[in-house]
Amino acid sequence: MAEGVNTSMGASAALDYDAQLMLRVKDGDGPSFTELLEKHRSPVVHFLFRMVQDHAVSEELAQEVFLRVYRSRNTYEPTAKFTTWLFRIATHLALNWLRDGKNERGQERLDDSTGEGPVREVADRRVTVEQKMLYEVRLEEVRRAISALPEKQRAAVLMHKYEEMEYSAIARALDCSESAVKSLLFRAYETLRARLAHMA
Amino acid sequence: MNCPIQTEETAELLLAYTARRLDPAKTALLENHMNVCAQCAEFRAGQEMVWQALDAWEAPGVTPDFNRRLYQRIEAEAAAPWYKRLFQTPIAMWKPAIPLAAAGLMVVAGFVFDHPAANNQPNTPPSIRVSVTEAEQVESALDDLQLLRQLDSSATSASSESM
Repeated sequence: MAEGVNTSMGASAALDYDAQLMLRVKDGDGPSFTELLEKHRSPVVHFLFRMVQDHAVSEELAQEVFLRVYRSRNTYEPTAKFTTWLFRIATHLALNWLRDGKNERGQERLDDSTGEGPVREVADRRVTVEQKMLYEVRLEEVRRAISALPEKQRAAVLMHKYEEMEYSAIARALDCSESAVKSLLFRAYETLRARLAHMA
Repeated sequence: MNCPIQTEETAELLLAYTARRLDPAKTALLENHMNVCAQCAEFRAGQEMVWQALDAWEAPGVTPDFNRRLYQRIEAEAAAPWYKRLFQTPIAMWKPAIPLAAAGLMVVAGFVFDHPAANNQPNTPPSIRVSVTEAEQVESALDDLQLLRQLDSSATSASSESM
């Protein structure tokens, strides 16, 4: 996959507000970078968290994403939607991290049922202990099902489901064709339906 | 209407439907179809269950010092020596320099191939290499020795003749 700084994505995109902000960053406007950071920090960290399933790692990778965005400000050309470019960098870093085998610790943690790791927000729902336990069990099954998907399928599902990205944007982020994305999603959801069928 | 789940391409209709991203006309058409197609109804039920399960998976919040850490890294990079910043430069910045570097490499390679003598060093070890100066000195010493012998022999013959 091309490096995240490769901003020439072919298809012309309308100059969205984020791209305008990025052009201001290119002109040396620091507050515009802060605005972009505030707007996209959570979606990027959440996407990376669901990819690597480790909170500390997801924040570290997200830092690298925004660092690369900042480093690339001088060469930035708004040839695609800013978010597509952003998630392309994020996906690239997450896939590299997963392929480098750095996820062993994360997998161990996933297998560990002691509850170590980031605390998931389930508070303030006025649920009973039993309901909370049931929720945790179901959540664990979802995490395992997602974790078991091949990396590209996982990335495609997360971008499709949580970021509500179009097929074309996912295709650019994953550096593949739209039909390949449809195929990835079809197979991924098929697997998830089979793995999570008992939860119905 | 053909059953959408028969092929991957058309299954995107059902995926879009469960994601509530299908336009109203297609939604109505698909819902009518699912009323009579058990396969599609099953697909929809399974996909909606997956959707709900994924909805329940909340990611943790971002730590409060995220921005501060990022700005620290940016400042550290800005303060780094030029050679360190060079390696952090995006690949795109290097692209214009690649043809120049290739041309320079070809010039150097051409010079090396055109002047092979510059690289032809003798294979003999340095310890037994004799420099030109040393050879001249030895030759001169031998000449001097021969001259002395000639002088010596001529002196001997002169003395014998005088006797």
